[in-house]
Amino acid sequence: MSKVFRVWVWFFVFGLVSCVDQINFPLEKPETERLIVSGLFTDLEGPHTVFLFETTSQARQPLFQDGFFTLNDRPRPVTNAQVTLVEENSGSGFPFRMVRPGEYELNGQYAPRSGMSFFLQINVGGETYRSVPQTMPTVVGSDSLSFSFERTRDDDNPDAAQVVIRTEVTLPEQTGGYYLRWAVDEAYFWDLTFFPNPFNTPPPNCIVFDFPDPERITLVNGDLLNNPGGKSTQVVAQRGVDQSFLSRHYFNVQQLSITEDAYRYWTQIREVVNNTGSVFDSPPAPVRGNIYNVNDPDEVVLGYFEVAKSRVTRIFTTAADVPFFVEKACEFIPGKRRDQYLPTCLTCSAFPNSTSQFPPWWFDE
Amino acid sequence: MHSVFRLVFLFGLFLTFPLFAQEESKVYVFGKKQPNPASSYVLTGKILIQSTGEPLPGVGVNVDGLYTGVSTDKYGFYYLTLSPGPHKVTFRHISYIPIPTEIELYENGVINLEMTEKNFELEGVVVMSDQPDRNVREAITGITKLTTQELRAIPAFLGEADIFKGLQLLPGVSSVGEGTSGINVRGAKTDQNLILMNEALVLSSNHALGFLSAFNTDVTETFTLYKGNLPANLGGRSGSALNILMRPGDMNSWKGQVGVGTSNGKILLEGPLAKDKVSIIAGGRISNVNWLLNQARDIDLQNSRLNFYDGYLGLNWKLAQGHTLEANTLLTGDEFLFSDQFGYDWTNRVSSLRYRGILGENLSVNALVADGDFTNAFIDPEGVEAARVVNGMRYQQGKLSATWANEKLALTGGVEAINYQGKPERLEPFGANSAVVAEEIGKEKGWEVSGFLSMEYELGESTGLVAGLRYSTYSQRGPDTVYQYNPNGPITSENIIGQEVFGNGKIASYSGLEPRISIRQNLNSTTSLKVSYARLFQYVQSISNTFGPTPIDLWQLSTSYIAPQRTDNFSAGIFRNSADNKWEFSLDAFYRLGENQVEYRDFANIFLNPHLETELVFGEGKAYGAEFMIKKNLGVVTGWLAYTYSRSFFRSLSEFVPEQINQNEWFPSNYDKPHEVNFILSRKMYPRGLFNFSVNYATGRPVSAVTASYLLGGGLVVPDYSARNQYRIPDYFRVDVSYTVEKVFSKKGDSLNFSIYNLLGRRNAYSVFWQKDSDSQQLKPYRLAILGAIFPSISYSIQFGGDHE
Repeated sequence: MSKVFRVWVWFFVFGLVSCVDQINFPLEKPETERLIVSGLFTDLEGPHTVFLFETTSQARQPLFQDGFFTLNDRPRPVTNAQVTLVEENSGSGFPFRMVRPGEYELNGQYAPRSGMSFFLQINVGGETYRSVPQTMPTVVGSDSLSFSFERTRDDDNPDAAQVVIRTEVTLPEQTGGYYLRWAVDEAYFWDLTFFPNPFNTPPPNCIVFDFPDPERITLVNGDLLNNPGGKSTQVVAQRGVDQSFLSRHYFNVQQLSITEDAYRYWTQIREVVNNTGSVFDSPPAPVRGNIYNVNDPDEVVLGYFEVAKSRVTRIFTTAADVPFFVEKACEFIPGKRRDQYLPTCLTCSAFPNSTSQFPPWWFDE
Repeated sequence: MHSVFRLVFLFGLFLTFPLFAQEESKVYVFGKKQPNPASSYVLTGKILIQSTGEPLPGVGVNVDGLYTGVSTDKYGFYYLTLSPGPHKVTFRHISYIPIPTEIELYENGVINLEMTEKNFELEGVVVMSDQPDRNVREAITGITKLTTQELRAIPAFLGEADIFKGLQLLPGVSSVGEGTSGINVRGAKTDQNLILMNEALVLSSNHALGFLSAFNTDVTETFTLYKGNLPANLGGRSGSALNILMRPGDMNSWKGQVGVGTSNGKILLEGPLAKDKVSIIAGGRISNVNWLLNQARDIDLQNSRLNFYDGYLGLNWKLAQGHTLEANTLLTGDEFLFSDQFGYDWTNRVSSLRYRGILGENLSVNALVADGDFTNAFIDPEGVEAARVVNGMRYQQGKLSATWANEKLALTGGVEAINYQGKPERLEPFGANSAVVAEEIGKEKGWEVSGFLSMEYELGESTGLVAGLRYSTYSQRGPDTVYQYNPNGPITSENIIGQEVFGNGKIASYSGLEPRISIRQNLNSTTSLKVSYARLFQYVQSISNTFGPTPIDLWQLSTSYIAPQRTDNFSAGIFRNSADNKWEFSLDAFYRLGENQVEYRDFANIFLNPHLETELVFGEGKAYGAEFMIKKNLGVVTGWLAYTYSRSFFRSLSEFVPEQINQNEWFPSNYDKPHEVNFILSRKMYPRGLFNFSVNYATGRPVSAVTASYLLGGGLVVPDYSARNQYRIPDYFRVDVSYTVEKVFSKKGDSLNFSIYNLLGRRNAYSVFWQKDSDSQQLKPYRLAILGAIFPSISYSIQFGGDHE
């Protein structure tokens, strides 16, 4: 009987954990592509960044274009756009400049007083797009960060190592009337492979910038809380442990005090991003942001331009903090051919966003 | 995979178990062993029916375990040649007890036998009712009646007989998917189905996300489903009605039953408090599924908890000859916590007191008072906003009806009233880390009062008529706050221009006449044509912003802004039975038009919302289709094959974009499944076994799909979805088998059930969703199969007590 019992358990567990698999799902192609705007303007020095892209839905299935079949449905960067931050009352405009394809930056502090209202204006392809004006929020809380290294299940690995970043939030000193969002990015030193050479020259510095847990959208609705200046702890990021933890690994936690509209937008984005099709999930739907075409209000523009009061807090880990064995993926091994190393072991530019220059705050802590 | 084979082998072993439990073989010796025998000898004879002495044709002769191809002819004769020596010869007939023999054949032999009819102790899925020609004679179309005995014959998930799973095998009945509560009947929403327990209203009827019904079949007797053509004495929902008749306790002796299965343990006790006068029945179930969750590899599942229970207490008092008083209480509850991410719990109680009396040769009365209390809560246990949200509905129901009947005519008239009181919705902090402020939002109250008159009339041998009229009225009662909106704009929270506070008294009221009519015209004694029409109003609805119904859906009364739903239901069908009622054929078409149908807006915020109208879209609905069924009622093998073509659509009607879905175009509802095929077969196994096999196929339900993806903040990949329900998930297909055997260990009565749900282990999709692929950083489609494997289960129950074995 015990054997039969085990069989049932096996079947049941098999059923419980093996329910999700990838499938083919044929889709029709939309008739037009859409502009994507993603921007954040804060009360801090900056840089304030706006990403401009265009959807590529029509390329979802392999298409024969320019002599090639392509299956690339990643958004395409929009270049040659004029992007301007406009202060609503004075009408002053502050132009962004493109630093990378589709990435526009504005440096400096443009919201010295509370209560100032801003919108974004984009001129591209003969069309003018604007964001709905937003007033810079007036309060923001503060964060006290901590990290812990833990074991967790990651797909087939029941004992995967991860780091968990927590914040002890001190809420703003007011009851209600505020909305908070946390955005976490990371910066770490990456050890490129040190190949022996006659001058014993080490590889160049490689600082990589990334987002450790982009799908985690942490939000707080101050209207639900009654704890002015109170403290609460919450997780803001989780990330697997890899070679990036062999050197200094920074987590930059940005607490953003956002408008009610922005809070609603991010709540909807959280729903569609974390939708797993479960019984309790809301059916997903298109999320509409705050950008519109001045001449054609019916045109669908994806994304959001956010005006937020911000406070940035950083924490870093070093190899001494990691209680697990971490494999040195880029360590030089005699006899191993150069082409057998990962591309990211050979050159820093293999990372989408990296530099050889340390950011100015790297050694502040 | 060896485990699979072992399991199938075990299943097969149990399947054949009762075949071994037969009488001993008869021994026949023909001649003596000779040194030089002939190459073959003749074995012949005649098989008669023991009870009548008549010859029995069709008896198969098996030799040494193999069928020879020889059967008895119409005179009962058989003839075959065999090699000399010992043989095992078995005479088999589908309806008669097989006779095994052992023969030693050294010369030609004659064996004449008498066979006895099998007396099967278990019935198949089709139990002949007291009206075997009901299919043809019943005037109202779309009535389906199932008994508890039939339900037990249907292969069930986790081996537990279940009313909603059973009904889904019938044409026109479906659900959004595995893991959702309730049923969709003829393209109607789940909350458009009226559920009654001995005529008392029941709001919550499922356990464990809808995997099990809250009705324990140990205490139920019959289930009657009206698929759209409700008689006038039933109302309050705009789709269908399911009346569950509870079983009274035994008036003569005390007895009971205990059972244990893969999902729950249960107990039943019944007996007379005063013999032949007062009886009581008590049944309860409690879940035992947490051990399964503990076995899971996934830490989230290990940390999850699922508990449910239900209890029923029924008292039946024969006040006098023809006068009965019944008191019933059903108490059900669920508690589910998924890791530290989400949880819910709910309880539901329905208590009723019913008097049924015969006041004369032609007059009877029926009086009911009931009280219902439904409370549910969900928990978001994480972070500074960790909270528990509680809501529910309390209601009292009263119904009085009288029936006057003679052989030709039956008239039923009565009144019914329901007092609904929405429970204030509460937000409570959950856990020490929560900084949430407790909050309470009042919910609506309302009275629904109806009067009805129904007539059943036989216009002659071949024409029957059921006609009725129901007048229903509803009043929303205070105190409440009604929000005012800019009359030139959509109803949105941004357009609130004021609010009006009402004290006690009427706030809004609605009323309407609900005519019902069904006509049957017999073409001959075995064939009839039927047409029906029914108008139905609905004043309370379940509001949900999920694909399908969940246990935590909010019951919402009609208000100044939420007008009552109204449907007009038409159906026409042809029904035919074979002369002996062994076979039934039916083709039934339906068409439904609905007004004031309710859908949710995208990202609707339905909880703790004092103005729910800002989250809803109102419009019209239509559903149409046809149901075809062929059914075998009698014999060793019974079952049916049903095909349903069914469509269900919704269209918003507003001129304002926030109140529109898909630009006011018709779109398929979440439960629109055009094609559905159900096949079920029961094979009685002599003497106490029953083998069942069922097949389900359905078109995949509609979903929205990702048409583009984009990046936010440089790192977050966001899907952009299509208009609502423009695509479909893959089709559904499932095969189940079960085997039940009774009196295995106890002659008093016990029952052992083996079942395999989803025998083919198909990963039928509940939904399709898109997630970022870690390698390409692009969104890929994934299928979520809630029951994505084969699910074997076993359950055992044993009876005790009682007067006789």
